[in-house]
Amino acid sequence: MSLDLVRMVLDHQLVDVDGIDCGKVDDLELEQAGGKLRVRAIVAGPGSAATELWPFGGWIIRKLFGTAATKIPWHEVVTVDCKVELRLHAESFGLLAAERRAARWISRLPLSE
Amino acid sequence: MSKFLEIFLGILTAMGGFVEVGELVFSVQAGAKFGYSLLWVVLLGTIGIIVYGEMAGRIAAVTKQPVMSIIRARTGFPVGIVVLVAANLVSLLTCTAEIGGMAMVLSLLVAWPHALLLVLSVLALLASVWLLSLQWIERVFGLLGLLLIAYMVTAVRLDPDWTKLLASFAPNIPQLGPGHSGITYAYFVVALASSIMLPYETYFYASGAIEDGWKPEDVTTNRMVAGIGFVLGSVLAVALVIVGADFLAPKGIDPELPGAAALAPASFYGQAGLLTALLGMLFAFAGAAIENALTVAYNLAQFFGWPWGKEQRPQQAARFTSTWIAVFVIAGLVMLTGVDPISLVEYSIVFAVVILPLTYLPVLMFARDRRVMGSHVNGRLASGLGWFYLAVVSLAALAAIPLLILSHGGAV
Repeated sequence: MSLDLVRMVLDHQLVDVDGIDCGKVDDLELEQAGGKLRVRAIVAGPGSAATELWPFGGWIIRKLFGTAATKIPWHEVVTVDCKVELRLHAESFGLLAAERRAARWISRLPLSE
Repeated sequence: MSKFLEIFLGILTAMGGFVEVGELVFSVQAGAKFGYSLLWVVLLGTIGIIVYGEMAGRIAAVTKQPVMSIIRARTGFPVGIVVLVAANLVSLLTCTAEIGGMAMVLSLLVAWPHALLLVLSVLALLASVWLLSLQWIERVFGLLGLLLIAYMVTAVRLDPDWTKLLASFAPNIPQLGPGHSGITYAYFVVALASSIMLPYETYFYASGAIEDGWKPEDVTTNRMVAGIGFVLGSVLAVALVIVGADFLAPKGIDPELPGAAALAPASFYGQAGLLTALLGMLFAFAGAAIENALTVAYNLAQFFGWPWGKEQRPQQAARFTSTWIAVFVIAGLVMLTGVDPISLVEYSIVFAVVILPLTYLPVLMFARDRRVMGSHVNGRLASGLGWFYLAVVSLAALAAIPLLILSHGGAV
């Protein structure tokens, strides 16, 4: 299958099997196979997208969001439409950890149920 | 019934957006300084916000893609993050100015300390967004913002020169009186246009449409909501220009403070008129504060791909929820330092126009792309108007900051 990676995949929304938003395609990992370039994995984690931001941008993003990046093997991708849909739950790829931490804080607020 | 409710989304965005504190200050001042002359800018800006509001709403209905997602997907991370940071700074600034405006209006109603009024405003906003669903926020602030109709009634009572008024909807340059320079006029052209096309309106409108679950068949509703809602808001702007021109200017009142405008309904309808106008302003400013706080959260979540939405349970959109809470708290703290809300209003309006081209271009490119929009792709009219307004806001963006400096914020 051929796909316009920059227009259709890079910087697009990731959604898991339940349709939950779980990050963006911040980068792509390619591999060479039989003389052809193929996508090996999707990289999610804003630290990886921000590497070349002039001059302190990358540093600020890495400080704010960390350098942790999650790699999702390309075969876990079900469809690529306006969003990139994954085969499993976000948690099984290690996505949404920061969201869970924020949720614990939110749960402590009054009337949050 | 649900169609009727959707109209509220338009009315809220238009009322809250058109008569937020900046638009009120600039419309009334425009009237007081230049008579009806700047009405053509109100017309120009209104068509502009309708064109881009409709486009963003149509994209949301057809593809469920909000504006900040499109900006990132179409411009990439490095350019996208510049737009994100700039757009969110402007929305934070605008939210801060609205809270300042709320406290100013409240101080005309009750003789409590200013700091207390600020804290109460922030607490009321936090409670409203925490407790009410998006639909109820729309209903409460949309309906109570309608009290601003007091200004329309007053404008008609002022018996304006209708022929001259209609003629001013065509571009014109007035006979400038002593003390009013061409640079000040140019500054008001840019600022008034910006206050009508504030970028958060486009972001909020599209995100709200997705939260309301619009589908491709809702594109006609979208067209109506964008049309009626924004036109209604601009009729209010026209009324405010009339109040400035025919009531405040002859009396030599400088309308720099938002409360000055309420003198007009007060003089015709006494205490009831005053109260209606002040409460209308209070709820319109509050509505705009909420929209701007939510816009910051929408933008951040949509850029980084977090779960988002006021319709989600707070725990399910935890970073989104934390963001709008933080915006209200930061805005309140900034106001408590004693900063002048009117200068905040001016800066927010001027910096807003600078980011408009970067907001509009990706929206236009997306709406013209048949591969993603299918049969709902832009027609000739939408694309033609889109390019025209992109040129208009680009010119305005280039001129905005030099004009702010040269005119000393419109004071020359």
